[in-house]
Amino acid sequence: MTDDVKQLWQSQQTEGPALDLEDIRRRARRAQRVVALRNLISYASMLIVILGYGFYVLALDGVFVRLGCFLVVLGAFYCAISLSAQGGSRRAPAQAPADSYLQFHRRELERQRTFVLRSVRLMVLPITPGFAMLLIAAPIELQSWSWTDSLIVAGAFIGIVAVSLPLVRLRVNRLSRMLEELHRLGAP
Amino acid sequence: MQHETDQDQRYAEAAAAHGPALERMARGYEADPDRRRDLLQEIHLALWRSLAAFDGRCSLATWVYRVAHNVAASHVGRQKRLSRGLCGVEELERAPAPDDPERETGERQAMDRLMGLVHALRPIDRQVMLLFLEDLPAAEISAVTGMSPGAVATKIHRIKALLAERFHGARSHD
Repeated sequence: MTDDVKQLWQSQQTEGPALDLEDIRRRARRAQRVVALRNLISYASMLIVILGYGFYVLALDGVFVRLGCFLVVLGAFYCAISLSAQGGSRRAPAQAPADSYLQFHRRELERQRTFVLRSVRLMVLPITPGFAMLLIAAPIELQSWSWTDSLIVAGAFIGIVAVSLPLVRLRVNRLSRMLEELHRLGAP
Repeated sequence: MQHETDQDQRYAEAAAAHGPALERMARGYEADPDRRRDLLQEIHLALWRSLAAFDGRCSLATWVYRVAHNVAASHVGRQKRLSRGLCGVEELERAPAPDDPERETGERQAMDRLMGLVHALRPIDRQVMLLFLEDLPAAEISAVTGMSPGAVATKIHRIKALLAERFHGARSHD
């Protein structure tokens, strides 16, 4: 019975070679350009933050406002370097696609879980000290900025973090469950 | 240059030996013809790239199937909306066969039904099903998937029961 089904499956008509070697090399080069462009956009975004707050360091009055901007710039640098290091560790070894399904997907899930767990530390904490100093110093040193403005911005920031943390926890739990399932399938 | 030639040669060998199986496998992972074409090209690209690092840790066939299934399973994972409705072989075993008053006859309808069954499976079960349909022995299925031999044997047993129930049942009404 199952032999009939196997024969049915294997008797499907096929169209022939999907790509020739030159097509493959062309696609490989294109894929590399896409990755390079994506990295460039990430670094450009970080550069805009650094240049923006760097400008404020020079242009604004107030010692602590300038210090706050400088700390934000340092935090953004730290984010850029950490994300770059994460990106390096995210690149799987060349032969990784030929790992077994369980190995390949276990590695992917572990990578995602690590990234999600570190996302707060990598992206929020580095700029928090500078940001906090700005919100406290700005109403004192800048005439155009009030305490109400600082409270609104601080409230929005805390609100976003408060909403994100449970979502991060949910995602981590889901990834952990998927990893457990893979582990059970691979256990002798 | 020698390294590039080895990679190209291995790829040519792999594509010649397993090209049709890869095409059938792509159909098992993607129903839409345009996306399926993209998936198949992605598989061939990943295969060519990976063969630069082929180290003989497994047979070329196992290597090819691993790369192909990993790329395809990642493709299914990206289709998040569709993958929510997927299930395992065990759930399909428990579900009643579709009650179609117009009993399906003919190879085309049987193929459509088989494809529907395959597309309902989540990636790991789909992988075992597709490798089983390609007539790979259990030991090689275990090598490709990384599942324990016991887990593979259980899945194959359930697949056989499921296929017998879904296809034998239709035949008795012809």
